[in-house]
Amino acid sequence: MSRLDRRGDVALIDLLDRLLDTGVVLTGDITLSVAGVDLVYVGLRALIASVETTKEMKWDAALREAPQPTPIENR
Amino acid sequence: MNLYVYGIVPGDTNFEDERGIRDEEVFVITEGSLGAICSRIDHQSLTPNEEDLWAHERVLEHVMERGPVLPARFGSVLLDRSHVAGILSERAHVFEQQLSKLDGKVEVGIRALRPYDHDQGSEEPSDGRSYMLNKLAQQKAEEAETKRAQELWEKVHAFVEGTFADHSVKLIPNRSVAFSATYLVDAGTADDFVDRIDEDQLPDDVELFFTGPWPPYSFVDDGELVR
Repeated sequence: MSRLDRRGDVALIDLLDRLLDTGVVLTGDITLSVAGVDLVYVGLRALIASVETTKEMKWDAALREAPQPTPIENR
Repeated sequence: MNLYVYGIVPGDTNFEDERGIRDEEVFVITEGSLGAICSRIDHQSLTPNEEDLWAHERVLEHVMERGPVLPARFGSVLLDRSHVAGILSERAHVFEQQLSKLDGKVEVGIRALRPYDHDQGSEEPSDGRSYMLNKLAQQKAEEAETKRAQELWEKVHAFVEGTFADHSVKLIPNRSVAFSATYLVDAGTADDFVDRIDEDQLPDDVELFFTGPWPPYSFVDDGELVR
């Protein structure tokens, strides 16, 4: 049996790390809507973890301790 | 209608019947030798949630089985086809270079739970001196934990030395994790890669978690790509 977790809780945390902190940034203005407010950020992890909605998801303590996000300028 | 972009691929990549975020049909917009994997999205911003994050990942996994892909950051929404084509042609050189570097590669994540007592509950300092002593003790404890995390990572790393193309590691990224490392390996070797790590040879209280194989998110060279 494979030791690699593809869809479990730890995979979800790793997915979040990757999707929000890595990968090609195609445009200067990645806009995610969090708690009904549109925000332009590159380092989104801490921000997203801080809102109520994610509490339902099984993010671990990891996310609550992430560094503060850095706003980037709109193009 | 805007376009959600999942990643960049060589222009001749083909795939069928794939559904993306909000169950929208996935298609490729080509420009020169490159293509962008897209689906329609009706708003320029989206709310990150578990379902959409996995939809993004599933599309990339589907593409990854067919050829190289540069994963895009979650939430990459462009205006229309000409906006997508413009970015592809403007940065064609960098995208081609990155695609060739990451061709045939996937990444594997290794996370080690911290086997240390990290109870932060110390007594309220009663005066300045005890406050400073507490601070000092805390700093020393942190240094010792970082050292232990580094040593633990080095032990794990030794098992896989020479079997990967690239790697990166974060020590103590948060209170519950000793290290979080990611390795770029040849596609099809991810299981063999983690099987080299013999947990019996690590301290009993260490717990490792392996994830992947992932598209090579962490190894896109963002020196030139991030604005």
